[in-house]
Amino acid sequence: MTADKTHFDVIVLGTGLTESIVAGSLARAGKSVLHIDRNEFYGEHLASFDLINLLKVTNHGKEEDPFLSCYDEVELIFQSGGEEAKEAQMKEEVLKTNSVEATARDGGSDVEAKSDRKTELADFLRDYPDMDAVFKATCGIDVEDTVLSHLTKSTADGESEPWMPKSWALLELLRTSRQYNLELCPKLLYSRGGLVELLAKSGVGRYLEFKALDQIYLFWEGKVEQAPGSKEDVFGNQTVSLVDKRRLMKFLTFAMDYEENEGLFDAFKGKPYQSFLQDQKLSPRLIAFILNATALVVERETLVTLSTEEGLALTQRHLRSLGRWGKTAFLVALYGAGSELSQAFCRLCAVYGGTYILKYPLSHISISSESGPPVSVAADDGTVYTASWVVTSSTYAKYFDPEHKLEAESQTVWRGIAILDQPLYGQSTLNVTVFPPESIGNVQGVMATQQSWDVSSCPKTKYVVHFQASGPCCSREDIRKALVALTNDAPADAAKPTVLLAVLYRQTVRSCGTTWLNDSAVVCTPETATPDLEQAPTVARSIFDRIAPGEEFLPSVPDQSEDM
Amino acid sequence: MSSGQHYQKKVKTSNEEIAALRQKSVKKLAEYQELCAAISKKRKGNEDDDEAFKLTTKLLSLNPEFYTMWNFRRRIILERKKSLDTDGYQALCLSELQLADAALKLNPKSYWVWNHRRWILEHMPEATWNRELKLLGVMLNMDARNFHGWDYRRYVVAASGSRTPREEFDFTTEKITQNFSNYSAWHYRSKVILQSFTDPEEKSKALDHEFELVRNAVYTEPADQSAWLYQRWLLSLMPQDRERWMKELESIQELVEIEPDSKWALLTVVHIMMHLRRNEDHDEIIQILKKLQTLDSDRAAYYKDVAAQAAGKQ
Repeated sequence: MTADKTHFDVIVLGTGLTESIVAGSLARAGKSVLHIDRNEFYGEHLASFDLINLLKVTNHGKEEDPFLSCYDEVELIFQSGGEEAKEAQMKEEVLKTNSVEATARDGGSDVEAKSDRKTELADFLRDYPDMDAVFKATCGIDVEDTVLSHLTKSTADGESEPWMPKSWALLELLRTSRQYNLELCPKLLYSRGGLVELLAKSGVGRYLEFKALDQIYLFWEGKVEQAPGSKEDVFGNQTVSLVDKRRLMKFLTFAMDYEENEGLFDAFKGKPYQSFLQDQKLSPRLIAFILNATALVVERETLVTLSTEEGLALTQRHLRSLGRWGKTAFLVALYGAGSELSQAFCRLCAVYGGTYILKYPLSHISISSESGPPVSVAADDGTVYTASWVVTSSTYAKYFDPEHKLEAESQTVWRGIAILDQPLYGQSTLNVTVFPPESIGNVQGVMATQQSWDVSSCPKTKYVVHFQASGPCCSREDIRKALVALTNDAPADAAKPTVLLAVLYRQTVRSCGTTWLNDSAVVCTPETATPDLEQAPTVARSIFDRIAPGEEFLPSVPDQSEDM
Repeated sequence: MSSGQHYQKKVKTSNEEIAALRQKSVKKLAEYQELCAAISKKRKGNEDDDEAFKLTTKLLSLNPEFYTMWNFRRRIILERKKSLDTDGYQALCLSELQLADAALKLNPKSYWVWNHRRWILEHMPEATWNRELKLLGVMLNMDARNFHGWDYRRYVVAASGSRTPREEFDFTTEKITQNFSNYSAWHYRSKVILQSFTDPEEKSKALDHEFELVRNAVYTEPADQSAWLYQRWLLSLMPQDRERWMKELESIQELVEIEPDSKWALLTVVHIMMHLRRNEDHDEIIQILKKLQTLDSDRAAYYKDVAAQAAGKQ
């Protein structure tokens, strides 16, 4: 598909959240917008996928693609000891019985049933050739050699191949692929944060659905404990001493409006938040609770360097978001936050006349034209689009920046997505577990977010846990340790959750902040390491103000029902 | 492309439409006034008939706050009872409770509606207490501090005898855990705790636990007075137990060290010290009361009065 018209006020490249808010707000303000993405999905690094597509994106094997090459160091963990295997085994037995009956009835055989299954597997692998690598990594089979060629061989010996049960179990899991919405980079929304306020004010929120996060847990001294999120949690907590309760409540009350009591922290301005908390006579455990589970800082180095003002601002942001919806300060978006939010703003853009072309590779971008429009973008199909401004995600930076000056920094986050057969903590379906650095032998702190069917992340009987860790010396080991801790340390009264399938990977995004290359071109970086999306609206707003000075940023959409 | 609700331009509400809506509300008002007049006529003429019953149903569904109508309705019900057998009367009472359910949804704090419920249950051939308890569970879940609900709960429990004091005690524990700033729940607790634990040893243990609970509440939120008042009540159960009073004093004094300006903590220290009547506390009592006069200047005269009492007692 191509656009009929080729000149626009603004061309936006990449459908990450910041770019999408810019596109929506500019179209809303009357600018003509062309929004392009090389991918066939919205959201770039914040996208969500069904299971097969997630495996495709992470096991891409395409080093030259500017988007896919951000994903590497992939490890797949597949345990066929889970429910799928049990189911598969059950079916096996049913098949056996049936085939015995069948043999008795019409002379058929067990072999036939087995080869039927093999045919099914082969059919699937033919339909999804990208899954070869996945089967190879998890079941140790070479699809070409083992499965496809095996079919041509005689199977008359009836012997079951050793790789078959495992491959079959994986196939059973992949068959429910479409019931998964797995985020490349899961995000939470502060209930009273800038993004939620923007969604409410602009009316874009009406395109979206949310659930409240149930609980935040902190891994402390070998145990998972509930982080007290409210006055009632503090009151009911059996393990915090009375004096600590008072100190904690006093501190939290202060942090809510810390600006009004500057005298209390004046001496600690520019000094580490940690030392300020120690000065408040808070116990190490309460300090961990405030730093890791309230300010949500988990990187080892940041925990040390975080200044008192920064720390108080993060703590306040969390506290102020409490009590609006549900028990915690956070909302979880259905079908994946980044992807859905990006699409919602793109939808606003389209409603106000924006043009969208997805799955559209570009060949050249010029932002230094001497005469004529300042920006021209050439697509692979030969069409040339021109504009007064270009707003682009960092995955398009190579076109502007052949010398890779902008790539000086990169933002690396280690991630893991685990599909479990049981929830981590009984009743709670949406929760976060924070592992402070070194709490489980990990270098960097790890955040684990459990999602469920309640937000359409997975089928009703499954649970998804997203892991993330970042910072110097961080590695896949940190993620793996957290995964092991959670699946082994479940409460004793419940059976341990089993990891059915886990994908561990590294996400490396070019980081250049928000950089204006000249008066008509700006590059922006997605927020991958933070658990929230609070930066995007602010960055989008600053870009909007420069392109459409004096215009109102995302005014509310006219009310649909003004009737009395 | 143009089917359904998409691609339909929003048309601004026209002046004619606004006028029509206004017309509608004027008509609604006229109908309501007509209804009131009709019932008033029936009531004055002592016409406690079926039609009057229907009219009051309609009116009370619109406005359950019109308490005269509930009174009239009870008169009609007694009239209707004469022509009904037991089953028929039971059914009538049940439908009355349903009417009251709907009215409580409109206003959960309506005195007349709660009163109507009581009257019905007392006149019913077979009172449906379990239905009431279920309703109360729902209502106190929606608003745990609705004192009408708590009051009515005490009434239902007493009248039905279907709940043990211990079960009610546990119910208050549940509510206090959800939100301890709840006078009604603490008060109800004081009403059921002594019946819940009759064995002396059990009772002593339970009271220990209560003091612990209060400590947790006041340390979490010293400004919330509901737990402080409950603590006073607990202490009043054992005026002779100086050890207990001293133990509480010590704990509150620790709190005052962290919260030197907490009015309730200071006042409790004074309260306990005055009870203990130890000579060495005298100066401190006077000092604290002076401090309270500035901290809580609205009640300065009260603190002065207490100080005078304290001085007189020594």
